[in-house]
Amino acid sequence: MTDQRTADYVTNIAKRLGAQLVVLRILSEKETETGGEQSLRLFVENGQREKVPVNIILRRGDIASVIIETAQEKSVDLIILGVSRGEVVAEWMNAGAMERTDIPVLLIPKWVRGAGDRRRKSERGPELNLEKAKSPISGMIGSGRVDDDEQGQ
Amino acid sequence: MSRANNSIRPRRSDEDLARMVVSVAKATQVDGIICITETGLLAQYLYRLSGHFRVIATTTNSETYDTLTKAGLEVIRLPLHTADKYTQIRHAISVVLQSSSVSIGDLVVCAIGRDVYQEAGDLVVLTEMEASIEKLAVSDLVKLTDGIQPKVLEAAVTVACKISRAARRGNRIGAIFMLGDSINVLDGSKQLVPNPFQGHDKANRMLTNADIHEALVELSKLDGAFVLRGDGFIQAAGVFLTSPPAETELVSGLGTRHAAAAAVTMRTAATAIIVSATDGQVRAFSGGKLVLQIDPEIAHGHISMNA
Repeated sequence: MTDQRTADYVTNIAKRLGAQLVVLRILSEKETETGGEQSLRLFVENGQREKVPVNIILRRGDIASVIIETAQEKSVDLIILGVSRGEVVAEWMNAGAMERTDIPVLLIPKWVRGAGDRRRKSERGPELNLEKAKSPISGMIGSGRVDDDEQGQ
Repeated sequence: MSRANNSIRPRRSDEDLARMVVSVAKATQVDGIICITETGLLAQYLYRLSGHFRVIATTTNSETYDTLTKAGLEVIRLPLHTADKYTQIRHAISVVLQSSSVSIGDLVVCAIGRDVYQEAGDLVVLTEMEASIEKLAVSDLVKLTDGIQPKVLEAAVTVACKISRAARRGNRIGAIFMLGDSINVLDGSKQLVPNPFQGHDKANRMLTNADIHEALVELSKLDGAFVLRGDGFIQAAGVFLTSPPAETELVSGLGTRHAAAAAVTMRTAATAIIVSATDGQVRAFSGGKLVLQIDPEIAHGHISMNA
């Protein structure tokens, strides 16, 4: 189950990038589609609240291949991989994923969260020392429209 | 927004990557941007585009270091070039943290330039600086094979760096340390000179015994490789490595010493640590592939410059 903080974090990144969010869940053999959809409902609710278009996709298969295929199929601009466990990165690397796609990948370890509230260190107080996230972001794809007006000064 | 499925995506450039990184930095309000670059291009684009964000460039390339420093950028030399982008980013973050350029708890985004590795995909990591990453050892950056103990790999790298530095003081010497799977390494290899370790007690044959490191530097003047078990026990020195020709991923310019050692790591589960007599670099091969390159002239963790 995705926790609220994780969903908030990713939704906020998408909102600030002015992006559509494609959320991919790779189901385990035992997992049902209903259960998979339920686990991502927070993204749908967040998207509605924050006016970020959210597209939920459920797939089965090997992690790296499914992420790459889905990312290419949806023409995403940025793949966001939540790394709660070292094996996700290891699987990504071992699968030669960096050679199979040139879509940029943003890795976010599980302990990074609270992006929506985050201010630069000089601006934020000690009260923003948040506790660690409890559940992983797994295999998410943000369709980030990296706007020209977002860049440069 | 998603584009049409049949659209052809043009190959991204360092400038595209820099734009994306700055966008992520803005969206997440990071405390700094760290980049890894070979030619300096990514650092220059980031510097130009990043506005108020602090950019810290890291590079293994001494010329790039000088160029970026002269251009007014904040630059840190990296001592290691690892096998893949993710490991290199971990290494860079560790070195930046050691340099006190950032603090524990800082949120940073770290990107790696397109000129550092051949793979097409760009990798960007958004992370908080954690104390646990500050002291990454060499053994944290290389996948260990055949029961090679981390402390043995660390000791081999330490001695290899000593040999390289001794070589730069006038002795043109190189060396090979074959770690692990020693029976198969020795199988088919030839003893060029009487094994200098024969008859010595175990304590004086352990690579992890720092008291013998100076002797190893001297013995590296002999032709042939050191062959060791995964626990650091030195089986033999002065061994001529033989292996059938194999398709290894050798960097151009590397000679027969590297080719022989790389080929042995293809047919065995050993890891080779090689000191180049030509450029003084220390390289590690595993499975026939270059998995690590170290510049012994730059201090890193236990690799002290006083040796």
